Amino acid sequence: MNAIPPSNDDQIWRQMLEYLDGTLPTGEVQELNDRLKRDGELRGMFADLLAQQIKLKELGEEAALLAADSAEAPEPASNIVPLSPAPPKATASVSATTRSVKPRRRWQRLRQAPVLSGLAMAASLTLVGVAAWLWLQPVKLARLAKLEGTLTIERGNRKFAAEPGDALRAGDRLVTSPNSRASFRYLGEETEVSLEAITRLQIDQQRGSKHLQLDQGTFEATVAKQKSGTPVRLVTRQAEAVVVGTRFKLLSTMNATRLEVFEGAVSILQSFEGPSLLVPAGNGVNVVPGQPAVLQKLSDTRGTLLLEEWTAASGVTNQTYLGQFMFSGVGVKPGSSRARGYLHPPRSGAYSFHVSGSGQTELWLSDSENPARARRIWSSADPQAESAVAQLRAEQRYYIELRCTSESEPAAFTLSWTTPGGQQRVIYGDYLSPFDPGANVR
Amino acid sequence: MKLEVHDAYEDAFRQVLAHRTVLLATVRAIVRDPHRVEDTFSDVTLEIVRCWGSYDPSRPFGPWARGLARRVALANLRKAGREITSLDAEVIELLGSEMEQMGGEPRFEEYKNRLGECLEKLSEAARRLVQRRYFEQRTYVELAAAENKSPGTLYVAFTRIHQTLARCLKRQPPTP
Repeated sequence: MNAIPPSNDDQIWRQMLEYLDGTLPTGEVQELNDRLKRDGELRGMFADLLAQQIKLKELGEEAALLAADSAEAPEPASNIVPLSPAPPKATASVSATTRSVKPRRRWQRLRQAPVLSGLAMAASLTLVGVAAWLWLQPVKLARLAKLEGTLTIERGNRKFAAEPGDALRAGDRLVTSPNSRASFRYLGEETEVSLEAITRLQIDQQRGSKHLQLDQGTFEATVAKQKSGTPVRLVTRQAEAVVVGTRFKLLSTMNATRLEVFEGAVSILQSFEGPSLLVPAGNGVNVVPGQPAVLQKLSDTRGTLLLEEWTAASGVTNQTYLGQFMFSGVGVKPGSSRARGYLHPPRSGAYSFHVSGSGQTELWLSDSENPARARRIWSSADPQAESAVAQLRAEQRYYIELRCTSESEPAAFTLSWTTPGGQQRVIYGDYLSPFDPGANVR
Repeated sequence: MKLEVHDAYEDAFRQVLAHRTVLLATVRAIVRDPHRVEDTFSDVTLEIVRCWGSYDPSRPFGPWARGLARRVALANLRKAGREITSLDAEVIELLGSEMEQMGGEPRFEEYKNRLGECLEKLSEAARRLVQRRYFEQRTYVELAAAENKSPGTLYVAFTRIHQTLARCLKRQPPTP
């Protein structure tokens, strides 16, 4: 086919194909629009392309249906006129499908049938068919509310990139790509689920209960009060949990599940061993097969970071909370600032930290939640150091502290990180909790 | 769950069925993404049933339904926050009218059967491309990776495939 040189026709066909694929640049869409408006022949070509694409898709769906059909399906009696193609051979290939349908013979036979009764029967059957088709469509459960990056929806055998506003149906699997985040909201209620990067979650509905199966990754959910007897069910490789109305975060890796509950309570049951455990608000639990699940206290103000300011003359002058690891310095006098708290890595791996700040800036990181074990991993005094790298585990929180001192201007800083396989971003509050002096340290 | 089709809606469903391909084409020409076309078409069907009371049966159904289809498709695009860069309403209607002239659903059923026959006349490689693109609904980018070709080369190949199919369909006139 490639031996034929391109012609004007080729160019316009290509333009039409690109338009229908959504890849035609906006300027060319206008050009195509103008040509279609004034050129009837071109409209005929475009209409033909549209018809081809629609009917090719239908042929593909018929092929898939045939492939799923039982090979032992009985041959129809010769005196019965088939109203839809039902060839006996099950195959998904183009040639086998089109051969087995034998369209011409079917039409010849259809013409022999009494026309009026045939049409009436066809109309009734198609009417019921459309109603049944509408009824049998997987139920719309939710709608995609926000998307940063890429989210793939796996629906049956199909995979496609999602966009905000897309309906999510029962049985859909949602897969976020590296460096992507997405959230969806259930229809008719305030339940909202946020997925972090590299997460694979299936949404379903069983006997009126919402069902979320987390194969991989992390999601956070705010669950509105559910009807009696229809709690939200969560399933991971290691555990099952039941929720009737709460705010929580669930993380699943190959070896462990971590649940953190911010409001309400969640009952969690290890799939294969151990009794169920009620996790009240402000607590978290790690579920690792073979190990007892123990409640761990969470900070009540997860999502923020403690910022302390002080001057040499008067000591600590102010305490506040930051929603992310960034401070503009607005409203403070020159002096020192310290932002500290706990870092909650979304997944295990090597993290690079990048600091920018006014004056003298230092970054300290512990190998656990214990501040006493923190060590300085980066300093602005070292001109060679562009960034610091640390190996972190997803199931653990780490004490982190950024110190910034400037005698001539307000202390301002930004701490960003590059997550494993991700891009450089400011550390959002989702991955932080403020320093809690009263917390038990391990 | 009991399935009920209200009598008043029966005519609406019948008309949607009788104009199914043209309505699908109208939606496809605006929404374009084949996966969203399905969702939008079910929304269009429900909208037609919902607005059936305002339909004047003395007027042709096609343009009225295509107007609703355009409205629903554009609303869905807006709801999805997508930039609307589709052909304008006049061109979409001209295309719908062009397709309507191709015939009703029995003609399109026959068109599909002839298309199936024309597919068999394509080369093995071209048939494989059609299968992957339209049967398996792979995007050009996925297809390019699977075939180890650039998307540009694939567009050239599909241009030839659709031209060949169009010529074949013209050579095989519909059954009178």
